[in-house]
Amino acid sequence: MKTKRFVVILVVLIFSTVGLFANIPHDDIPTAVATLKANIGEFLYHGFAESESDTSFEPTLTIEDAFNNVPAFWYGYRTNAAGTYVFRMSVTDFVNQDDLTKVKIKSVTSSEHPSMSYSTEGYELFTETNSIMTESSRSDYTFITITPATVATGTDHTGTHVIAGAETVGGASAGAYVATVTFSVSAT
Amino acid sequence: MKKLIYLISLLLLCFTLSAVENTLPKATVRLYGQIEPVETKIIVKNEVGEELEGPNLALDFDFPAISEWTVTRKLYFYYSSHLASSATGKLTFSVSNLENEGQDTLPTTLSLVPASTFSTYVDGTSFITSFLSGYQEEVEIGELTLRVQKTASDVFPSGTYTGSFSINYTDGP
Repeated sequence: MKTKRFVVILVVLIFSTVGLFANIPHDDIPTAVATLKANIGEFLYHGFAESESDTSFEPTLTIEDAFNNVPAFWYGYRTNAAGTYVFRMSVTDFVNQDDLTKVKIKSVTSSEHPSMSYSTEGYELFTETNSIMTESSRSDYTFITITPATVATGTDHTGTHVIAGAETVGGASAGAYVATVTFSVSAT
Repeated sequence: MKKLIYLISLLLLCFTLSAVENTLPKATVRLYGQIEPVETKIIVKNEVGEELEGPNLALDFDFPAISEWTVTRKLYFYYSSHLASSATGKLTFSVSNLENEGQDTLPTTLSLVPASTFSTYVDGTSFITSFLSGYQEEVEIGELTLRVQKTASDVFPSGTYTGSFSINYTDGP
């Protein structure tokens, strides 16, 4: 009786494991597929560049000896973002750090915009408009020149303020002066 | 349910787009310039506007051949400067009598007239002047008059008479 039970159990085990060791036809082996997905997000970089071919931008820049060497620099941006982006620049006068005397800015020029004019909202440099995000990035650059007033002739860069002698490099009080140029990006 | 999913997706898309703009920092350039102060320079000019330079200012007096006369020579004083802040200075003058080799003396006097409210004269021999800050070019300080006088009773031998005239500048009142 025990022998019969042992034979039955043994047969069951043999039959249940047959499938494990049998040959599987090559055509039935499924192909393994790995799906790789990656997302490139939108970006917009802007700032100061070494040249118009430079792809990296610095957010800050310091220029010394502005009264002896007219300050000038490259500004640009690179983006793949969808939407409309307007790039603007605002300029302050040079201010004496001790007595707050001002040296006016005679002119502000942009190489890409020879007819650029002053606005209370700032100088408009670029307008970038794209309906969808693009695979490749778009970029643009301009060379900015900021000229301090050296003599009392005509108006300053706003076109409305007549420069007085005390508002020029030659006539203002002695001391250290600082001016700030700010670049911002907005949707309109 | 589908509408809810669409709405949520749309909201997420809007937040993403606004994040690109709202978090974008500004780029800033700082321009530094320096105006160096220039020390005060005292300028002396004669009656015809010629600037007299050098440590030894020579003035010639031509005395007329008459019994009684008064001869004057005027000098005009200015300053140029580029100071960070206003300052005060004092010009002090002195003049000696004209003498010849025989030690005959021609009395010589000086008088001062300030040119503006920024200058005052003290003791009849000094100008105290306020030097304004900022760039100043040939701002008037005052006028000095040297006077040599002979009365009818004076007897002065002919010949050459010489004297000295000095200008001393000090900072402060």
